Formats: sequence, C-alpha cells, structure tokens
Amino acid sequence: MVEPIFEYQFRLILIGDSTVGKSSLLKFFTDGKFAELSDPTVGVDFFARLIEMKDGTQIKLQLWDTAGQERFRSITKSYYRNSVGVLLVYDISNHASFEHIPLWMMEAQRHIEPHRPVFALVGCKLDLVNAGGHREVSTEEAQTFAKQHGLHFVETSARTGANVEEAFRMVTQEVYARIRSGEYKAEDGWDGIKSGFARPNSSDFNLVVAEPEKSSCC
Amino acid sequence: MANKPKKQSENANDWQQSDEEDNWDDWGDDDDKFVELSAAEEPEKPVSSESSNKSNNNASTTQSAPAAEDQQMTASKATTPSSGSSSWGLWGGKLTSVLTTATEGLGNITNQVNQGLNQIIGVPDPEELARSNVAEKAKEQAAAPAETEAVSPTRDSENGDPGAPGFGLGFVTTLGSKVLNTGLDTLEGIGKKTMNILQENDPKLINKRKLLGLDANKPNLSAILLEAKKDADQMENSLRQLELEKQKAQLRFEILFENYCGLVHYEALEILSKESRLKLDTLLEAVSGNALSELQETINEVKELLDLEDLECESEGDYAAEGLGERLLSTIADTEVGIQFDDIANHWSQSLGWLDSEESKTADLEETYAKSIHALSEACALEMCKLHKIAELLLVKSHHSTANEVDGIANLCKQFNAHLQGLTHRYAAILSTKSTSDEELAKTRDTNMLFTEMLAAVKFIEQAYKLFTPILQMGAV
Repeated sequence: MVEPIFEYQFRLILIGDSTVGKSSLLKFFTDGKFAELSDPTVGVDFFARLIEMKDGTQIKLQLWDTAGQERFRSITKSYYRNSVGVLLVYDISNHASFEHIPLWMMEAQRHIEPHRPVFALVGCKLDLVNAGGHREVSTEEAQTFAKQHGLHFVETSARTGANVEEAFRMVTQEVYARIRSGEYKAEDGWDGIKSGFARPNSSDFNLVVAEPEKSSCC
Repeated sequence: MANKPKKQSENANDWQQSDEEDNWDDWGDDDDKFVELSAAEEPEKPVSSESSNKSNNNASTTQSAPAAEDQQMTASKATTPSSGSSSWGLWGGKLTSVLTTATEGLGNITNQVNQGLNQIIGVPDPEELARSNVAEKAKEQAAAPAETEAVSPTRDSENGDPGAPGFGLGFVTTLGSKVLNTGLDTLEGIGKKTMNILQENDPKLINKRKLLGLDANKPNLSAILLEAKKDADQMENSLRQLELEKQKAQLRFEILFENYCGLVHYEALEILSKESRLKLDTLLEAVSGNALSELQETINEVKELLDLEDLECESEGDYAAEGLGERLLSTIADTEVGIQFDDIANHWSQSLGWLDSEESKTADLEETYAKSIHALSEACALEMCKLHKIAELLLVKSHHSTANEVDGIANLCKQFNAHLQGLTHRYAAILSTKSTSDEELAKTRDTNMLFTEMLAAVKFIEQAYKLFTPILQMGAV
C-alpha cells in the first residue's frame, strides 16, 4: 500500500516479449521479492511504489505491467497512451527478445503520440549470465542501440535485485527533470502525470526541527 | 546535513577513546598524588616539605609510589619540626603568608573603621583610652599605693611571659574567623551598595540595559529561545493533529479503493470500453445497407439484454469462503474465460477469520471501523480486478456466445454486489456491539458511514457493468 503523500504520480509502462521478466522486475521493485514461478500476465497488472527524488520530492509510480503474449497485443496497445515513461524490457539470454525491441518502441511511440515519453532499455536476467549462463545480448550491443536511440540503459537481475531500483529511478529522475524544465506537465485528459497531495509546510517543519540541535551547541 | 550525524559519531568515538586513555593516565597520577598527600599529612611536617613535595612530584612520574613515599619520609625526618602552622604541609607556607597579609589588612581596616566610628559617634581613640586609663591608674596609685604595688608585679608577669604562647593557635583562629566575617560582610556591603547605586532612579535596570546596548525593543536571546520553543511546540502539536486527521481521512473508501489498485483496474476497464466503442463506430461507418441494419440490430439486442438485468441483490453475508468461490465460478462458467476467484474467496475467509475471532470482540470502535472499511475497499478492488480481467479475456476470445456472456456478466456483478452487502452487514453487526454510552453517537455515525461507503462500492460495480456493453457488443458482431 502506498501513502497518498506525493507531489506527482507518474504512469510507467513495461513492454517487451513474454517471459523476459517484466512482472518479476516489478515484483522485486515493489515487494523486494523474487518468485521462481509466476503465471503469465493476463492483459495488464498494476503495481505502485513511492520513490523519493534527490530534492526530497515524493513521487508515486503507477506501474503498468503488460502481458507480453501475442494474444493480448491488441488490448495492451490501448494502455500505452497514458504513460509518461516506457521501459523496454528484453532478456539478456534471449537475442530474439532484444531484436523485437525496435518494434516495441515504435509501437509505443505511435500510440503515445503526441506525447513523447521517456524510454529506457532494460536487460533482464543478469544473474543467469553471471552464473555462467549463456549471454546472447552483449552489453556493448545494447549500449550501442541505446545510444543510437537516446535511451537510458541498464542490465538488471530481479533475482539478486541488481540495478532494479536503478532502472526505475533513472526513468523517474528523467521525467521529473523534464517537469522541472517545463517540457512535461500534468494535463487534463492525459494520465501520464498527475499532481498529488503535497506535504504541508514541509520545509518549515524541517527548520523547526533543526533549530534545537543548533542552539544546543552554542 | 547528511554528513552531520556521521561526523558527530566520529567525534564521539574519538572522545571516548581519548577519554579512556586520559582516564588511565589520570588514575595513575592520582594514585601517586594520593600517596604523597597522605605522606605529607604526617605530623611534625617541616616548612621545607613544600619543596620536597615538588621534588617528589617530579620523582613520582618516573618512580613507583612506595619509593616516592620512602623518599618523602626521609626528607621530612631530615628537616626537623619547628612551628605548628607548617603542619599544613603544602598549604602551610601559603596560609601563613595569607594570614599575615590578612592581619595587616585587618589592622588597616580596624584603624579606618575606628577612625570612621570616631568621626560618627565619637568613640575615643584606643591610644587616648589607654592614656586616660593610665591617668586613672596614676590617681588610683596615689590613693592606694600599697595595694597596687602588691598587685602590679603579678600583672606584669601576666602581661609579659604568657603573651607569647597565647599568640599561637587561639589568636590565629579568632583572627581567621574575624577575617572571614569581615571579608564576607564587606563583600556583601559592596554588593548591596552596587545594586543600590545601579538601581537608583532605575528600578528595573532599563536604562542600564540601554547603556549596555541591550535595547528593550531589540529581541534578546532568552526571549528568542523561548519564542522558538513555543513555536516548535505549537508546530509539533498541529502536525500531530494533522497526522491524526490524515489517518482518519485515509479511512475513506475512495482512497483505499485506489490504494488496493481497484481504481486503476476500473480506469483500465474504461479504456477498453472506450476503445471498443470507437471500434464499433468505425465498423458501423464501414458497412451499409442490410449489413448495417443487421449490425445495429445485434448491438441493440445486446444492450437491451444488459439493460434488462437488475443488479439488486440482498445478502446477510452468512456464507463460507468456499461457498462464495464456487458460486462465483459457476456464475461465470458459461462464458468460458477461465477466470479464477481464489483471491476473493481468500479475502473473505480472512475477513471471516477476524469477524469470528476474539480480536473483533475486544477491538474498539475506531479499530473496527478501520477493519471494516479496509475489508470493503479491498473486496471491491478485487472484484474490479476480476471484471477488468474478464473484459480483457472477452476481448481476446475468438468465439463468442453473447447470450451466455451477457448472462454471466450480469449475474457476476449481482453476486459481487451481494457480497459487498453481505460483508458490510457482517462488519456492521460487529460495529453495533461496540456500545458504550459515550460512543453511541460515534457508533451510529460510523455504521451509517460504512453503509454509505458500501453504496459507493456498489456504484462502482454497476458502472463497471455498464462499461461492459460495448465490450460484449464487440464480441457479438
């Protein structure tokens, strides 16, 4: 459960082939747990988590975990529009899943227009490769692709938790930076960014708390 | 700011360390000193013991305590005893010098005081007194010379010889107390006088504060600190109040429904519904003639079927979790979407577990209400999730039997509403047992609130049901 004290709500969507690890990535990010076995996602599932920016701003992430299965493709497309961030997820040990990334990206761009979301390329199952498993997508290859298309890039493991937080944080930070620069804003009729409830007088309170400590040393 | 605590802890560590080291050293030193002092306090100590002490101090840093003591003893024996005052050891020399200066000072003071007194009340000078005394004695001598001759030698002997031993301790102590008393009195006098002068025409020292730059209008430190503390307390109180209010505000169906991801499922269902409507519209535009009228007929039939269904349903919640799960499954079985209701059944069995437990009997009103509203919101969110999933599955299904689907969805929504009512009734029954006289009003308010929130939940299910229309129509065409 998420406390309703946040300044913004960002809607992020995870897309990619089935069984690349989208749901596991989200489960670790929101629950800190890894499930060995999980049922394939039906349509779309939802997760939520509060994340704090460097300046202390609380942001609620509403995470849309789409089904990767082909049969749901027609309906998952409907969910793209209201997203401000897109995580393109592939499996490091499955080159086909990486080859489909450009298709996923084009699909997302087409449906989210006229909005321009923040994209991130996320490789999954890093633990398998580190344990001596077969790597089919090299870091350089993915890095090159990410640079070409201006994507953020990170390789993760939902089993060990490596870089999971990082993957979501970099997207959130980027969206937040674009809000600060005025490029993004909350709009009616678009649910990518929503304004939340800000904490009242938070700065004043901090000052009051800090004061007794200061006075005690002089 | 983030570094601060770390720094502090580091400092603390350093302090501890150095403290410990210092302690060890100090203890060692103190031991030595203690031994020396006890040695110095031995009776018959010479004046020179001060210097011997000093040498011992130096020695003690290098030599062990017993050795130092030995040296001390020999030193004190070598320099033979003389006066009693020096038995104070280290203090002796200093004290005597203090006493002499004190007596000198006292002499001056008494002189001055006497002179002053003379001037004020005319007390005769001691010298004059002595002179007049002598004159009187001379007269007496003249009157009775024989008598005085007999007495005077004894008096002389008294005044002469015994004077020397009398000077010893008795004189010192009286002199000491005199010095202390007069000293204290003088200090007190000076203090009083100062305050009097300071407060002359200025009882609250306001002018003096101004002189010192302590302007009354300017804020001063103590006032600022007091005010800051008051402000902090106030802020803390209001924050606590806010926290409580926020917690209460949290106990709303809308908020909890969103937290349990019910709202987002509803929103997603809405997206699917809109999308389906758009597709139907484009389809209607694409066809014409007979095909169009056929299409319109089918669409209208589905709508009528759905509109016919009445979602009204009553329930007291007197069923077990397994029963609920099976009932829901059988309701939707004919639509063949392969959906499971385990989570709703599990949630109900958990709720029942609480409702039948001791905890529900001992819980206070607030706690019970919180439990109730949470259970209601979660149940509704789970139901909304199911409806959303069913919509998705219906949309990706290749073969449709629309009549079954309409029937299934309508019955399912009916069952969902019935469950929300049953759940609410069960929790309300627990709420109504919480009756203490002063909480009577709060109890009715909470129970009413719970039913109001239940209606909001039922409304969500009804709206979701309406959203199904285009989705089912899509399946039909």
